[in-house]
Amino acid sequence: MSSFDERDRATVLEDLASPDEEVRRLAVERIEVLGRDEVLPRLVERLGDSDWRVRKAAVRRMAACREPDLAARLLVDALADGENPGRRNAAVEALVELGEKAVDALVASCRDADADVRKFVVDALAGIGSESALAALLERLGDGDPNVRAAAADALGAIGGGDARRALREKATCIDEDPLVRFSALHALDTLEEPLRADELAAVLDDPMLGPAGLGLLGRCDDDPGALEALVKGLVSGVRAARESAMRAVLRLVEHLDGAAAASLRERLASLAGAEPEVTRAAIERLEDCDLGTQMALVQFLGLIRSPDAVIPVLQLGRDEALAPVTLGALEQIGAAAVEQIDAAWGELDVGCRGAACAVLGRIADARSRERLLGALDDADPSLRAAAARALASVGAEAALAPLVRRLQLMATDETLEGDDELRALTDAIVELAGPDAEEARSREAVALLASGLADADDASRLRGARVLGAIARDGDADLVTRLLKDPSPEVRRAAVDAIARLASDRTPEPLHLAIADEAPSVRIAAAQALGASPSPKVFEDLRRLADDEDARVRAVAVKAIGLRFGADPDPERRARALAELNRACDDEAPVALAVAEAVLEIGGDASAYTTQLLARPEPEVVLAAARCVGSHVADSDLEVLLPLVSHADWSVRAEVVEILGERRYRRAVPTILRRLETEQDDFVRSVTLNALESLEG
Amino acid sequence: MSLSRTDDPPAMTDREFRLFAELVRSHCGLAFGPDTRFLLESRIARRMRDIQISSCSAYHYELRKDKRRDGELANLIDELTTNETYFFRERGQLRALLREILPEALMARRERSGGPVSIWSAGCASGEEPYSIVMLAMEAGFDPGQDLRVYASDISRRMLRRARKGSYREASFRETEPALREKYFEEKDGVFTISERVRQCVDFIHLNLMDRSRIALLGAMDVILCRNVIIYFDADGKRDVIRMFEEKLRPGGHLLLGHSESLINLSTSLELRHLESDLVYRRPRPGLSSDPDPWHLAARLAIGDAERES
Repeated sequence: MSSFDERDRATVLEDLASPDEEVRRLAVERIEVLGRDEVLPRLVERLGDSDWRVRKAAVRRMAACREPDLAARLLVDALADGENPGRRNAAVEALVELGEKAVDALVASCRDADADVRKFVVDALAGIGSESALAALLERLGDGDPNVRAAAADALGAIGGGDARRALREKATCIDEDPLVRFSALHALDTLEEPLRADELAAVLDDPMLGPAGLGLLGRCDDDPGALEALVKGLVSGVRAARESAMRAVLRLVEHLDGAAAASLRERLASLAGAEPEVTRAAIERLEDCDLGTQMALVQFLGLIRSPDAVIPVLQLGRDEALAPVTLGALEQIGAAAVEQIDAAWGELDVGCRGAACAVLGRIADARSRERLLGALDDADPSLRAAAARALASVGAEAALAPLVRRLQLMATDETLEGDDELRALTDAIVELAGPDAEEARSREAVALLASGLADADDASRLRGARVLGAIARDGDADLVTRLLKDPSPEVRRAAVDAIARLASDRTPEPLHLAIADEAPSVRIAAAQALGASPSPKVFEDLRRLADDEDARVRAVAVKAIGLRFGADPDPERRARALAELNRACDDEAPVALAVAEAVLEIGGDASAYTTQLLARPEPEVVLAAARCVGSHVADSDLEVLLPLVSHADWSVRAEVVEILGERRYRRAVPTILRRLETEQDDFVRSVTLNALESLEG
Repeated sequence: MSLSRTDDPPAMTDREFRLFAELVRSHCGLAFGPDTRFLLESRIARRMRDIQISSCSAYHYELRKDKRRDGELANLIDELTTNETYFFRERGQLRALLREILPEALMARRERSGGPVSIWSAGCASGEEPYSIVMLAMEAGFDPGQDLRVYASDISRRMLRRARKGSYREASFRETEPALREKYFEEKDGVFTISERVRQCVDFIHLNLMDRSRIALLGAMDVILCRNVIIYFDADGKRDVIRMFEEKLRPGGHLLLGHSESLINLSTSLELRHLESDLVYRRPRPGLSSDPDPWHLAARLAIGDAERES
């Protein structure tokens, strides 16, 4: 019995029988308050609850119980409950969760008189996948009941090993065995990635039901000429399942073969497709009305045989996000023929398809693709221009850089999603072609192109240019970037400050002085962020100045930077001054006080004492951050300050505090937490509280 | 109105997500769950970058302190509710509005006090829906100045700016016959701008469907279209909005929802009405238990006119 009293025990028993499923679920969560002998039988009872949440909670508790042997025995007994399938399924789930600890009890029941029980036992062993059950499962492969044999085959597929593979091969190819068992054995062999030769599978391949499963196995047999012949035969089969299984197997085979052999197989398949157009036609026709997995296989196969007829249907399929990468890969494989088809159909394609086509053209990147992409960069539709810009990034700087910069400079101020997307695409493409990883000459070219367009441009255009410059500029461009600090637009100046912060130059702090005195708060915030990231200790005075700024957001950034940079400084004088700043800022507006708590959470140390005063602030965000500081940095003896917050008006504070107290194992909090639990209405906080109580009691 | 596309997601704890989701939900009804969490996170990340705030707590405070709801909270809502729609969407429903609901409502108005039929496009996004109604009304021979008055509202200020401007790209015309586009739009550099005579027929208003005091600015309505809006609300939010629509509709007034939306488990106050080309909801008229016969109604109107003349 835990420290909970008898009253709690009675409440749990009463709640377990409640008509309200949520009450029963919460009672299962608190079941540990019952006596040791009572817990497991009660949990087994709840495994048969009418509500799945209650069953789930009981499964979790059973799996985590302190007497796994007893739990396993009770769970195996529960498998015999033919009246309640919910309990049976939950028992299998709990046995799987128990894992290795349940194997002995399960193996002992493998010969149960009831075939249903034997099957559930085997299912549980399959879920556990333990090698110690191998012998018992091999024995079940000879069970009198075909369902048990099939389940044993599945289980052996989950465990593997030489004996399992041999037994499964035997079952799969035994023509006197039940088809269900043979099918399970083939499936298990596929799971185990077992290669089977065509002659071994001859009887399987001729079977209309088992044939497709057999073809699938041939895809792992890369040294068997018979396998390839059987697969080619499968590809032209009149049975759709066989054709599609053969396609999947062929894809697998190509993946396994080395370069020359794979290329030779590709050629052979392309010739086959040429000689048997029905193969391609059937695959294209099927694209529209099959599941995602089959669509993926078909698309890959059509790419493998380089079918020009498939280009437009596959392109159209690529509008589905889930299929886009596969279609792109397939069309890239088709190569120049794909470009030709796309070029010819361009006028009839809708905007979505043209966008997908741009990605293909970018991958293939021949002269014809480049020409089409450069044309698309001037299309009337911004979403197509964005797609073209993204594709041009992979075409190479020589052809694409100047057109991309020109397009950026021409961009209209367009308050649309498409406009945002185009801007992002252009910016990313230019940064990719001329950014830090590019050749210096390309960067110089892009900087020159961008700088030439800044003088006469409007605010929005200068801002776009400044942002890209900020991302690609190098040390030699510091003067140009510094000049942007004099721009009339505050947003451009802000972008310039961000760029200066990025340039690793000794000159950087000096231009930032201009920004500290800027009239726009956004520029001063950027300056405070830049100063906070500077390695120079000289920035302390500038940050202090910004900590007195008229705008609370600027003060918050400066105070946080002071805390992080100097709050744990080895220089005692600088550290003391930084801590004094933090202490002073605790009385400031909420964003500033929050910045103090966030800085202290990271640095800890002497500053932690300041955060206690923040616990009394009216803003829950500040209280929560301060509570985190207290939880992370103060001694156990000082955690008492958190107790009143267990009943804080804001749920997020209550949850955080209870969790901290649980993690810190602060046992003195238990009575306060229990009192609060009686009236706690928030489900999430209740669940956090129950977990915390478990830690505190455990 | 619909949820917008996604951006890069930030790191946000489950608790922070819940805090933001509750704040947005209580402000405008938009509900975010596990499936749409990525969207809320990415839009918040973008706003945090724009206004240079680096912690979720600081941003939450920024939203919470926006008591007038027209500062950062409005900016975030703008980000969350941008839209992709098009002209003449769900045309069968618009046909039902023009061929069946509007003539009937017009006769009913004439029978009572006269005046135009009031139509409210609630959640109009960038204006395609209200402009579609006006264009179809013109095509059907109605005089938008005399016969109907179209109000259009959205919570997104950004969308309303686009709606008022009335400029659209190719993607907005996927269901538009070229002849109609030619007739009602002027094209320049791939941008199509709605004609002034259509633009003048729509009154735009910035409205949060959860804000009862602002909604009081609108009078009683004969028709409310709220299509593909409440799908983004949770059950309580949907009930609140539908209750408000019930109050706003005149007796006999119609509510048109999107085809994937229904009032099952939300309201029993509105009756389902089978029209020739669509199913719509209607606020029952006291004393009238069945559909009015349009011929009967027309005859009554004609008799009334004759009596007045004599």
